[in-house]
Amino acid sequence: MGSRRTVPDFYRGGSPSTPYYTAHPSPAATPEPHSDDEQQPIAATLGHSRPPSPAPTADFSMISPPSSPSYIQYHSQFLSAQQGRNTLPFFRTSPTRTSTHLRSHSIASGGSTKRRVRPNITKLWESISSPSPRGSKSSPILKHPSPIHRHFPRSSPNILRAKRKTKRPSVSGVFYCGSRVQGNTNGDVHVDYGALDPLDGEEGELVDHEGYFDAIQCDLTELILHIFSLLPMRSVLACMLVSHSFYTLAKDTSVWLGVWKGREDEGVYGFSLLEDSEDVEGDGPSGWAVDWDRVKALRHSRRSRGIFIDEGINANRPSIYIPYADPILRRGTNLGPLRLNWHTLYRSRATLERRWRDPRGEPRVMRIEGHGDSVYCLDFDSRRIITGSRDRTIKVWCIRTGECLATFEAHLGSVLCLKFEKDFDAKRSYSRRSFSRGPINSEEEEGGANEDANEGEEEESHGMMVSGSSDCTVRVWDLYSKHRGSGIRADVRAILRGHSGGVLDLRMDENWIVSCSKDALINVYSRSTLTLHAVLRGHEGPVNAIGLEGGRVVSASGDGRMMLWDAASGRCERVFEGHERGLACIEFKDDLILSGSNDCTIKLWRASTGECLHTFAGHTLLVRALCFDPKTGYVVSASYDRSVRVWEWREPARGVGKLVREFRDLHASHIFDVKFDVGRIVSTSHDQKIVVLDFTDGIEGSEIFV
Amino acid sequence: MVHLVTSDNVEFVVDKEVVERSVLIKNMLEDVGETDQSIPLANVSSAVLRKVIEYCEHHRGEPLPSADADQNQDETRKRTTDISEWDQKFITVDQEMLFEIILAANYLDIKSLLDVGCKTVANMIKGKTPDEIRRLFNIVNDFTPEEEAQIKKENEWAEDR
Repeated sequence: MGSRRTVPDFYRGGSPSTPYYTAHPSPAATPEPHSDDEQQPIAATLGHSRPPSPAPTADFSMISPPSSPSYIQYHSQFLSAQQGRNTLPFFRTSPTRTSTHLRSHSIASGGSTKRRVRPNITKLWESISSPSPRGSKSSPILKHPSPIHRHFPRSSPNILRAKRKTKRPSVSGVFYCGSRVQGNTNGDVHVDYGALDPLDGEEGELVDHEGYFDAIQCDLTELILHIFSLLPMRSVLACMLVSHSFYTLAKDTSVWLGVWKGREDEGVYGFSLLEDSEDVEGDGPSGWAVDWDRVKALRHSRRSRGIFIDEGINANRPSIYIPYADPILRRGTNLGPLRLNWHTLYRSRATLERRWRDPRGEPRVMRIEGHGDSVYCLDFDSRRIITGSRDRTIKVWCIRTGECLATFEAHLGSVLCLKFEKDFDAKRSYSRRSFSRGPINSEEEEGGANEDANEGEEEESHGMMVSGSSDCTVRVWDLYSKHRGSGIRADVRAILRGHSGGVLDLRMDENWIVSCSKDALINVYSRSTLTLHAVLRGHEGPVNAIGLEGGRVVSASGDGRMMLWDAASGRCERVFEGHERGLACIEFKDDLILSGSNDCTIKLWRASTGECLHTFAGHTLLVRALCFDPKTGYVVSASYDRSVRVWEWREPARGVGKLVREFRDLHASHIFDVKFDVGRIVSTSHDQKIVVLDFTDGIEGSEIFV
Repeated sequence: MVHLVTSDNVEFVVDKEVVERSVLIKNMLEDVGETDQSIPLANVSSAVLRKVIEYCEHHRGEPLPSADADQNQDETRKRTTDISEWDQKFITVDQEMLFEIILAANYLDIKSLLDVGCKTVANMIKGKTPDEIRRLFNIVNDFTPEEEAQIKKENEWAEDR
């Protein structure tokens, strides 16, 4: 650090001797920040010294009134305290980036024309080429050390570009101002804000103002964070072991968001190629994602606080928007991604992945009893499992406790198949509440039971369910649920008749409800009018299962053939042949079709070409049910051999499809249906039980993974 | 033609089309309009600007990344290895120059060049052990053995088992 004094004069206006960490965006690596003289309690200081600014949300809308102090408090915390809870105890305290920010701003608001103060770039450079044998020979970088520009906030150079043109103070003004102070290396981008008209609340002015101060801090640190975020996980872990400063940088949530995104974008999607050499991580399938509605839900429920960066600190912010959202990473969400602790999330997700794959990673097993006969079918979402049984009832179970929440009776025969709109009640209630929310009492105890106990009466969410029965009908149900509590009720809206045999399987999408029957026919109903649109004829035996994807239907019949249909026209587009015996189950996702057969195999087909891509062999009896997630490449199958097997489908270079796990003895008899999501496998059986294999036990944040 | 003056007072005269790959300068020119006055780039030395202009010359005419970042949000997130051959050759410079180019690209707001630079540094780090990274950037290990052990423990979740 000997070269600290080589800082050129023009730094004097700022914070020449701040240690490296001052420029650091996540300096709260110190669990107990002792304050030096410079470092007053952050929120208080900020509240007084920093004029309110709107946040540069990615779309530049105002996220809080300019006069609102809460944003500022938030901002300070965001900058300074993002990683408080997960850091090592031995980091030395150092002035935070926020304090630099503060001081620079204090000077600025004191009327000085030297408003631009930058973090000490020397130290940043030293963090890379530190205690350099070059000694006092300062890096050439230091000779022109003010790449600060209002233009480069944080990790992407064009973040503010969209609106910048209209928002910055006149460039010519900047330009000539720069000429005036020629010789001052900082000069060219000086903006004398004092000479400008007072901020009038016009959005552009304010955004630019904000960007300006952001830029002062981001700079090299942001560049390093950006570089780190391009690295694969192993390299980021290696960086954490390099030095203290590297540790703090490499653990930054933005870096881990990048690492996460690297996996998310690598989604296997059946054939989107994954070069072997690239994925040396060995953590299995990628395609990781989080559900932002669930993130919001989790935030409101105040569980799993560890995944939120500012949890409990700025609880009374009026909105949950983040002032800064990297547009590269923002995907149709207004909860800023950097509000999540991606280091924790990555660790959680990787742990979950391992539990799936590690033969020793035993899931928690929950057996649910309650049906009076075989349980033929199931569907589940993040809150509930809905099952249909030979006892002619449909039952709803809490997915966490296994408690029976409701029983619906209407069918006159066994309930053979059902589907419902997943998480129909999750989205609306949260988006409504996120705006009307008062201060969150951070002392409030955790747990789902008392969430929002003082909220007013909430509107019911409405969802849809369809069920098919051996009574030859399809029943269309309206589901009603409130977010609060677990109650759910259902009314039969319509009965779809048309089959002359039991309804063996059905699917629905935005336009269609499609059912198939023992009578060898497939009926296509319009979802909006609930009228019969088309009858697909062609099979010579019972149609045991169907899939529906993008308006196309694939059907699997006991006659051993699979047929691909266009739902709207009713035309048969392709016939697949290959299984030696009748087909029992089918899944259709993206361009891939999986079929399970009485010949004990599962075959993977490409819908567009008709070719059989792979045969998964291993089951010893009929494969009764299948579930497939093209995002992660996992396939889960259930067989009359009483085993549930987890397979994976990767593109060919990785070894195509292989068995990952096998669960035996979950059920005492034939398994009739199986479904899975990122954290659970649920199966139902002739033994009248429902078995939930839960891989998420004890994994922080697992609720939001999809 | 646009006149640029570097920090070491060297004047460059560059095609408008070339220099406008820098969004900073492009915006300036739009605001200022036609001018004979030279633009001082007080943060860029002549050696670096020469490289930057070489880059801009080579890529002249290519579409600039759209202002609507949403459309190509994944672009920057592509594999770190995918740097075109010419760019790779171009960016094969010593470490100081590399960082200066990155800073200049940042300052001048030339996104594609910034990407190339950042990816190059990422590729340098990729696959290296902590010790190799220290040697690469000349960093002194300021961890105590206890601290190092603690971080390793903290990272145990990522261990292969």
